[in-house]
Amino acid sequence: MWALGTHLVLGTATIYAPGIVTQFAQQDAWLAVLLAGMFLAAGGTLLPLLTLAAPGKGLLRALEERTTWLARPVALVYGLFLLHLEALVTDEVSTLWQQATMAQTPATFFIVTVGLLAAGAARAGLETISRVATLVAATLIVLTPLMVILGLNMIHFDEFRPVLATGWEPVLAASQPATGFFNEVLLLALIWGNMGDVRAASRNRGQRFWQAYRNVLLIVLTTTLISLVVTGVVIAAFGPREVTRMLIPTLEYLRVIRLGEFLQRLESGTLFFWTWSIFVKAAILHFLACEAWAVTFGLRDAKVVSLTLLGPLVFLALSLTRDPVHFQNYIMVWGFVSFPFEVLLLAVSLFFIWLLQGRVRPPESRPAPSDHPRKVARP
Amino acid sequence: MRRKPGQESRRVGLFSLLIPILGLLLLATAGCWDHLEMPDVAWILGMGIDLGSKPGWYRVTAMVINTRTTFGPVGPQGSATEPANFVVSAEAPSLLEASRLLTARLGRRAYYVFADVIIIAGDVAKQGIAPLEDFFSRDRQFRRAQRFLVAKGLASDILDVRGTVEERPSILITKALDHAGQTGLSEMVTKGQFEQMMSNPGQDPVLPVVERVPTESQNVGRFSATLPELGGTPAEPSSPPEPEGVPPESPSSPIMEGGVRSTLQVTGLAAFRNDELVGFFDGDETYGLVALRRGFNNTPLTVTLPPDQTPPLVRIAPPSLPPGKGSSTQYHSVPATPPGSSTRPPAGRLSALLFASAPQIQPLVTPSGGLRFRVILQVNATLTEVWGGYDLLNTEVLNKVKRSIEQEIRRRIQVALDRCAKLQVDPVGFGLKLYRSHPQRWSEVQQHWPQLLASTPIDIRVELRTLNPGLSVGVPMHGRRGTEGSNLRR
Repeated sequence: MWALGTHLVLGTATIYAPGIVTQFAQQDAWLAVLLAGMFLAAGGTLLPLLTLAAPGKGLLRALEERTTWLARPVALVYGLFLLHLEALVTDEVSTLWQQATMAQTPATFFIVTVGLLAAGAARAGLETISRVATLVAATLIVLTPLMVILGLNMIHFDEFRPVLATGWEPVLAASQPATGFFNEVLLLALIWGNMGDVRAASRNRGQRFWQAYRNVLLIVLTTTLISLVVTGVVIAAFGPREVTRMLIPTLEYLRVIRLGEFLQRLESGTLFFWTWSIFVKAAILHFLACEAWAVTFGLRDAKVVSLTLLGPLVFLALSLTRDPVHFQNYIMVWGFVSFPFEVLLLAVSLFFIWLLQGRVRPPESRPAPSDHPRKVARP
Repeated sequence: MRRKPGQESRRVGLFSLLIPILGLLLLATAGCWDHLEMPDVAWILGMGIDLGSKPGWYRVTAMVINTRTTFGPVGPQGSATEPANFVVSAEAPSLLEASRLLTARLGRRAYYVFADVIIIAGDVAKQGIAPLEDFFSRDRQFRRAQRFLVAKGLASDILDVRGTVEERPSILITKALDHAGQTGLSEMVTKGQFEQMMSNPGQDPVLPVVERVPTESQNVGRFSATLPELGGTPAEPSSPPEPEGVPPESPSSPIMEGGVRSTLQVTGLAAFRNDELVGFFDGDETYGLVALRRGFNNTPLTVTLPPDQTPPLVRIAPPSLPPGKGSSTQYHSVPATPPGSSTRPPAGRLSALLFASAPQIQPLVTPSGGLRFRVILQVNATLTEVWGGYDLLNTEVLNKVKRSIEQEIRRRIQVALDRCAKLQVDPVGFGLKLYRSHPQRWSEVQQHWPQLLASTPIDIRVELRTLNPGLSVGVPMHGRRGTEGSNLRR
């Protein structure tokens, strides 16, 4: 759970967040990242509430148990949003590689490759994705302090001054896109029950809440710390004005690291691990999208739609491909764009789950799987 | 342990997922459409930009590696007769078009990833570097760690010089910049640092200056330099003999100017206001400016003490032998050399190596709005030459030497500040310090900061914390000390 939540944030945040947040808050960008972490810690209380309202169930499945007339539209909205988000993430890979090293390679190659792999990963199952995510997350956590250590000679803490010279308004404005990245953890609500503690039933409500919330806090701590370090280090190395000019400041930082004639040009290796991280995020989002679309069509097994969604995903990613500058402008308002889906819809659904607690139907009364026998979930 | 069927399928699923991922990523990192073959690229180690023959045009000069000598077989005598690099130029209205013309002339794709130096002619710098910066910032081949320099004269002439110790001018320049701190004559500035200085509020950028200078040595392959501060004049250059195996018109031989060979020298700093070159810092001005910007890093300093501050020489008297003890050794007293009676360097001169981190610059804003700066530089020094036979174990002597060093450093810093005031630039970053500590005050003065800085009092404090004598405390030729008023060494 920790690895999945970490990748949902860091897959994008470490690459785009520093530049965008610094555009708003300049040298106070680190404060904005800190605020975003605090907002996530507050919004993350929705996930333990789901555990209490529907133990062992994801958001949509819990809603489907109570009412299909609400579950299907909500699932449809989630499905479209997740498909859109996954298309953005998939396109991010092409932008990253084209800007960094491979300008002539067409975006279609990257989009189709990552989409195919994400669909395959979603079909392999959540456990497979989480195992890969754990491996990559551990690598990212090791790479982050290493990145700082290798660039120590470039870091000047004077670049953080003056602190709050323009007040709190720019910091609050900068926290908006950062919050948009961080709140993607709340999308785990769709599969939250799959990762719940099996002993939850034996505890009282308070203990169950804390048990679930502790996992959220661990994700918040990891993602906020790494985002803070990455944002702070690029500001300390280049200064806020230079960071504002850069498309991918973290990449520029890696390009500058130079220790003698041997340890230099490290961006290729880091790009390799970043691509893994973005791929894991795309795989998680694809799995979530499959879950949403499965509920939309009343399917028991979500894996059956994984390859089916590949077509719309690639089409959407290719349609969304735009200039990196326009992409950055879109990301600037991402906090506002994503808030209704990541927070509001979750809160409203949670409310209805709690409201309709008495309406949980027994399994026999639920609609039978309408799909082909061979699409029945394997044990 | 017997696995369940579900576990087995998951393991297979995991491996079947990882292997294609690794495979596709390997393919992607190998280059795909962007793959590069070594014979298809021209490896450019240095780039120079001059004004073109037409208004608004640029002339781009590239120093290209000669792959035949670098990667190919050597000649029958065991040494390559072809030059290690050659120079190609192209003119165009923009840098990108000029670069494409270079590709057309070279027959290979111009590859700037390994370009260590980018040299901008002074005339180009006077018009403003911002358009060039834009090109270098957008193209991913150029990195922030590449060195920027300003050329006195043509940048193409700089790249066309064959060095004596180091054959390739770009590597010669790079090595000179790496050791700039040890000479105090210049400072290394990378592209990223230049961009950062341009974007910082309250700071004007500087760049090191490179120029072509004649060599003094008559022997090919030997180079001697005379630093201005040590005095003396360079020897008259004469026509050296041609090296064996090198035809006179070969591009591998140094450019001949009236029979004089040339080499490169990186000295001085070029001052910019925003992005336009406005003047140069030379000699002591550069020394003081580098001290203010970066401190000292094994930087030499020679101090000549005024006569009234020259401590007296220690007079040597023969030691009194204890009664009953005879000795065949004769001790002589060595009188002090009368002034001007010999060709030896005058007493009262010493050299030291200085170490210091960047000075603390404190803006002081009074409640009434007055502004002044305090510069505190804490230095450690190690003596390397002492002419005059001082007794450095004498506290009074030591303090006089310390004060002399401090005064000399302060003098050079003041010279640099005077030059900054004259050019109306702020390469030290006083405005930046004011912005970071008093942003409100900075917003009031930033519009007319250069003029205000010229009239702002700056209090310079140089503190020599330790003065190391080196491995010796005196010259051996003066024998042992006498007993009058000095300590005996046993």
